[in-house]
Amino acid sequence: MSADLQLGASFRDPSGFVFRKNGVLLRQVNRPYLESLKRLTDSGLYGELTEAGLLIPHTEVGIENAFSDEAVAVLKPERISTISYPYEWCFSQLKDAALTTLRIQSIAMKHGMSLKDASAYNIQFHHGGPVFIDTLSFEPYDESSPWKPYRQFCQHFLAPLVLMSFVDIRLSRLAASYIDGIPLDLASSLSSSHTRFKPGIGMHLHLHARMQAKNADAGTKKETRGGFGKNALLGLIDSLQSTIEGLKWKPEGTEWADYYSDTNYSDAAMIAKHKLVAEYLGAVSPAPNIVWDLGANNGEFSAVSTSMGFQTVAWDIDPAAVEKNYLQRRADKLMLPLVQDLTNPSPSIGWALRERDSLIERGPANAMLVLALIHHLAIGNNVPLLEIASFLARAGEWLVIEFVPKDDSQVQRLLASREDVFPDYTQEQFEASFQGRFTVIKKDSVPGTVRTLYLMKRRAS
Amino acid sequence: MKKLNRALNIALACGCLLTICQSANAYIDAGSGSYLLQILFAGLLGGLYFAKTAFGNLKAAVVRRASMHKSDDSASHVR
Repeated sequence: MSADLQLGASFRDPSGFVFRKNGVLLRQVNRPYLESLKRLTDSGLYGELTEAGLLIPHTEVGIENAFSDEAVAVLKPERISTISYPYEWCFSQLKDAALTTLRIQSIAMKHGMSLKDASAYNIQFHHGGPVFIDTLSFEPYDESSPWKPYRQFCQHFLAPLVLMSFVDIRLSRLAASYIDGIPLDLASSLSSSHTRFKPGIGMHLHLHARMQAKNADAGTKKETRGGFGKNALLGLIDSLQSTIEGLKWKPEGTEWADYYSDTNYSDAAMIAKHKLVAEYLGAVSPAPNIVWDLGANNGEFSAVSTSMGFQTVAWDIDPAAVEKNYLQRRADKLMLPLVQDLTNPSPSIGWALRERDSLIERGPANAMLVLALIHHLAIGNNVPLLEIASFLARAGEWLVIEFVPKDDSQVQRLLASREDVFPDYTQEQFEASFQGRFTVIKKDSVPGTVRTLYLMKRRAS
Repeated sequence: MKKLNRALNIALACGCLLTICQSANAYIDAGSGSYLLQILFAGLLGGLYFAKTAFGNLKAAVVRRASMHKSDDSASHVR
């Protein structure tokens, strides 16, 4: 029992929770959920959803693995390589997650079941696409009742998508401040006024927000039973689906979205860098299970990693670059593009800071690509080289890192509008700063450039 | 189908505007407004969904019938 650890993300649901036993993730099912679990399987819903890749498959393991006495079953879900959160997803990832949730609700109704919650955190990206991970979120469908997770769905999916689509793509970050979704009154007041006249958004966001405020203390649940039918719920789901499908955002105009058409690399230099990166990744031993590409832009070099068979998370600060990566490489099942500001990485959030893990808590990565990034951290954001080395040593074990010197045109561009207060930004200082944390295994000039690529291994602490 | 969707959406918007109400400051009970909104629109949502599926089925039946006629015609030409 001492090796067991209940995870902070799933304590709210009396149906069960997830925990780790000897490093393996398990899901305990409590007595109140037993009937629903049987129905999930016997109705054929579990089979249809898992075959379609919409629900994470599980195997049942012995009850002796239970975390506590309330358990009636213990499930071992298929492992998700990297947990990500809605505030790290690009527009199309959040949209796909929303449509997946609605599709699951429609299929569940065919089998006499319904979702009892519709949290965006119930979706993860697995093998390149969205998958529902909370096996305990299904309950028998009560035809007389409205859709219980309607408010939650609108807060977790519709509100951020409307804000991203009509106001500013960066408002996806609001989801990190509101763990149960963006309050509808807030989203309604932030949205541009013409969205009120769009039928779906008008009803599901604006009117919904007003109804919530007006009936806040009405206590309506008991009174509303018997007033809703199956056709009405199908209509609601259909209306939400067409509203979400109608939301668009085009990735353009940001600083990084067109980065690779605006670099100082010649074609030959780019090819040489591809080769070097592949050679360095191939030298990582043992072969990495997970690679983090930090500052991945549109995933140009993350794709080198996935082509070698490595699960790769392509982190980038720019939602447009991440969107492009996601849309262009959907077929690449090893690629996971995510939005991440490395100067202010995702923190631990939620109750007792245990509900959602920080970036570092989801590591360490076996290997990291840090290409054409160091000058943005050191010069663009004034982060000392020693600090960068220290952070990277916490984030991963192996490091493929590119040093970009001051005479590189991209660094010159950074320095063009500011005073050069970086006398320590030299290749010698870079090597000295990383020496305390990493051992240099390989070092090569990138042909056709003034840059140098390093393969480093973290020193044993 | 797109035109029908648009017409249905406009009907839904009219419903929204007719029932729009003023906000009030009160303690937040997260579910009440959401439940009431669904109840209020149950008939409209159900009706629109019924109309949409009925139109879809009708359209599919017409297309099926038309394609059957076409294949019958081409079969008679072969003979």
